Amino acid sequence: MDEYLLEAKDLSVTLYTERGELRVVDGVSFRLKKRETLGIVGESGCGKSMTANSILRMVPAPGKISGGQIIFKGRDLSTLPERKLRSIRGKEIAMVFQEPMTSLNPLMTCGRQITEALRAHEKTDAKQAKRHALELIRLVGIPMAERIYESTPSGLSGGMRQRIVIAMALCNNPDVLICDEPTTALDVTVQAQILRLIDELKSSFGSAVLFITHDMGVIQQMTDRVMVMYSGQAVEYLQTEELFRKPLHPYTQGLIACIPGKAAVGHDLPVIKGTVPTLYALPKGCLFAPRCPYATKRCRCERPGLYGAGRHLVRCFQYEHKEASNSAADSGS
Amino acid sequence: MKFKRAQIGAVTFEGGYHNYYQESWRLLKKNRIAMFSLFVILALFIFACFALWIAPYDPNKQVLANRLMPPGPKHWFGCDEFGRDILSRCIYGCRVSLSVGLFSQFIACLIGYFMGVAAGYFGKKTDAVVSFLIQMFSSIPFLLLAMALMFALGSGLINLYISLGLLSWAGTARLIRGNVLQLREREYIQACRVDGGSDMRIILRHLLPNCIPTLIITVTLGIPEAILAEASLSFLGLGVQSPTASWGSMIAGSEAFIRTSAFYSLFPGLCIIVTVMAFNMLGDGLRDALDPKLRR
Amino acid sequence: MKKYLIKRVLLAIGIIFALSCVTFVILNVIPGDPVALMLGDNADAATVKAVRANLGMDKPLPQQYLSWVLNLLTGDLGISFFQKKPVLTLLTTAFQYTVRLATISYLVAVVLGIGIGIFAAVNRGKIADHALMALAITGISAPSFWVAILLQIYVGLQFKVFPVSGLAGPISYILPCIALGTRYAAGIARITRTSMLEILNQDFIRTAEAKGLSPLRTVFIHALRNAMLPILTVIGTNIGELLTGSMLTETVFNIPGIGKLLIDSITKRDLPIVQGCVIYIAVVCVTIYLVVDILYAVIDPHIRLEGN
Repeated sequence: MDEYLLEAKDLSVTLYTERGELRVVDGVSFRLKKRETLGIVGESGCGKSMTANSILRMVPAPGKISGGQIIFKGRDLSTLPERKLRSIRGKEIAMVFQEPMTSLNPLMTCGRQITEALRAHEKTDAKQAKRHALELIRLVGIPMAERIYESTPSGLSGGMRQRIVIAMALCNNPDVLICDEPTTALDVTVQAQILRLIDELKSSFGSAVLFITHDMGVIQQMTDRVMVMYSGQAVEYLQTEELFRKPLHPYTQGLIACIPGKAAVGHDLPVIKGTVPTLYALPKGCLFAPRCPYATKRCRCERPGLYGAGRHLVRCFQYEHKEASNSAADSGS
Repeated sequence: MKFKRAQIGAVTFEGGYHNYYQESWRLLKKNRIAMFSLFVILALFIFACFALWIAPYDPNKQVLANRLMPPGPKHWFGCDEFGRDILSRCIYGCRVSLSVGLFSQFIACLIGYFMGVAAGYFGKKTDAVVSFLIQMFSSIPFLLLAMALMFALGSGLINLYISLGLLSWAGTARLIRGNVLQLREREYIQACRVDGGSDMRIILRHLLPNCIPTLIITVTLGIPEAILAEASLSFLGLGVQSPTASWGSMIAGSEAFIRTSAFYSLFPGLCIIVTVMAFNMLGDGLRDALDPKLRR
Repeated sequence: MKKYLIKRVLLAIGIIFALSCVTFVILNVIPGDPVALMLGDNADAATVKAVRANLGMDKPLPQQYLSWVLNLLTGDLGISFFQKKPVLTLLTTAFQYTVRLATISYLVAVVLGIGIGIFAAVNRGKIADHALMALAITGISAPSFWVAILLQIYVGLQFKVFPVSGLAGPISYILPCIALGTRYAAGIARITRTSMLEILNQDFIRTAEAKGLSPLRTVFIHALRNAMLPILTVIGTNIGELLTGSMLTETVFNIPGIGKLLIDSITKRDLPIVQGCVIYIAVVCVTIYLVVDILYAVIDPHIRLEGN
């Protein structure tokens, strides 16, 4: 089992709100190998960002990890003492966030924000840290590194800021890089540049990447394997190429059908009918049943498990008895 | 006492007033501290209105035999140096404090609203003059001018209303000015002007309803300031006239007896703290409930 | 910046001038006859007349005002009616005590207030937070003179080391400073908490945490610096209040500061001192605000633009 770098086992996150407890992440498991990129995809509110935040135990206030384990290099991050966890944050596992405009300290120079991340984990002198930071700023493709080093983020565009955040995340050569919708807030052209940058850096730094997004195009471009989430549950695990070739779960099929450009010109874009169920009143059966075109009576009263084997798992009763065939088809390696 | 003012922004609302106030009231009702404060304030008003029947003794009746009597079953709060019942005087003191708070803030609110509207709506020279006045009044502690004014006018309740009202409008005016500056650019105000609506009509029919939430908050948070100011002035002998019971003057009276009768200064001070705190907490609650920016 | 500076200084001068007007009107016009006010009800007509002539109050009001202002500019605030000393000398002597009292209390209040505010914000929703904030709202609701008297009763009279009256060495400053500072510490704690909570919710704090920084570093280096502006505003705008607060505390503790001087003069109806006191404090306050505003403009360039 050592080939897995990071492993989440039955991970649950609960928000303890005044109106009750909300299971925003419900028994999610995944594994991340060295140098591999795993995508987590789903609609907004499906718990994918919560999953990402929970890995470094950074779930915001009323939320808590309420079950499961996060195994990283043989240690369980969900129970690790705060001090030890801090030595992993930013050092062995680093994060890039969604909002580049607000995720940098507006009063601190970019350079200092990078060197600070460096010096939190390694005892280097100021000069060396500065040299390293400048090198990183150049590496993420920012011209006039010296000037940017000395300036606060206020004048920088979103793309530039995201590059700084990436430089900051990579400064300690992390084993795992968690990217939480890193391009959602950016213009399309900048988006492409940032994606290319992450792609390049990931191979040169040799980091494994956990890539969270709701954009199927980004998934196709960036990831090796995908976990599809719906209402806090993982509904399908599969290879990225499978995702586009042969998605099995009705929800995944819906997502693929909704990609603009796949629909014929002149027709309305297909949509998945209905809305995501509110977490306060989840359906009794399969969470997707109210919106599922194939839903049966059983789907409405019973929760399906994950079926299939090897590398393609589906949370749908349709595939309950097709395990053998799926596993045969998908157990490539 | 600008702590609270510093935390208030200009409050405006979109959409129907009715829904807005319903929603605010719903939010306020959920705020237990604010509701408790509201209850305390209502109780204080009842004390003030029905002091005549509630107070066990005549607040000004001197019984020298009871001089500085400690609290006991007959006189719960004890008696002062003239043998007057402190509980009764505290209840009557409610009248002074609440009326000073209400009337002075009513005056301040009127002046503040019209000054703020004039500055924000007419702009240019009017704005320059009003802004200068606002700056002037907020760059000097208002208690200082109030002391000078009370010194000149002489002590008395009416004079307290007037001087505290005249001197504490600057904060309200500043907020209203900001409100109106925002509102002036709204389409419906512009439309009303194009339709030939008179300035007065716009100021009263269109701007006023939009400024009410701000006024509610500033008045609620202005009252405790006025009450504290009255207490301070009365404490210094510049507030109410001599036999009238005021919490501040009672504390002043107690000062000479701290060595022998500690209870004497305790009760009027507790009255001030309870009243001021209730208004402060209600004001905080109202601000949270009325300010849409804070709504989730 | 230079333009802003000139503008701000001119405004300050204008405000002082206007305040001198207001003060003059309040003390010389409203009472009708300030000399009668000064001498009380029992003075006979001849004395009143003599005093009026002596103080130059028999001249028309505008002329009186003009000569008062011109004297002000030369630093002549008149002669105390009862003490027979130059008002300015009395004021500057007394002011030293007030400044000392106010400065010490304010420094302690600022440090304590910010500390409590941060602690409450970091422990949001816990018992410590609720307890501290309950204490803070009590603090801003308590009249300082009452706190002063309570301190006299329950500390000063119990422990003889703290004198309840007058000034004798540094220890005698402790009780007055607590009485005066409580209110400001409470107010600063409240705004610090609010401001910190707002900042602690922001994305860059999450970034700092994700970098693996220690909580102390995150709170003090990243959060506090960003939360500072509203806190500084409250600190700045309350300096004026501090002086009036100090007056009340001085009367209770019998400290010969400017507040005691003013209150005594009011009771004795010593008009030149009252008038001098008001304008003196006004000048001090306006100057303080001028300095504070300029400091803001240095810290935050946006204010310069808004100021126009």
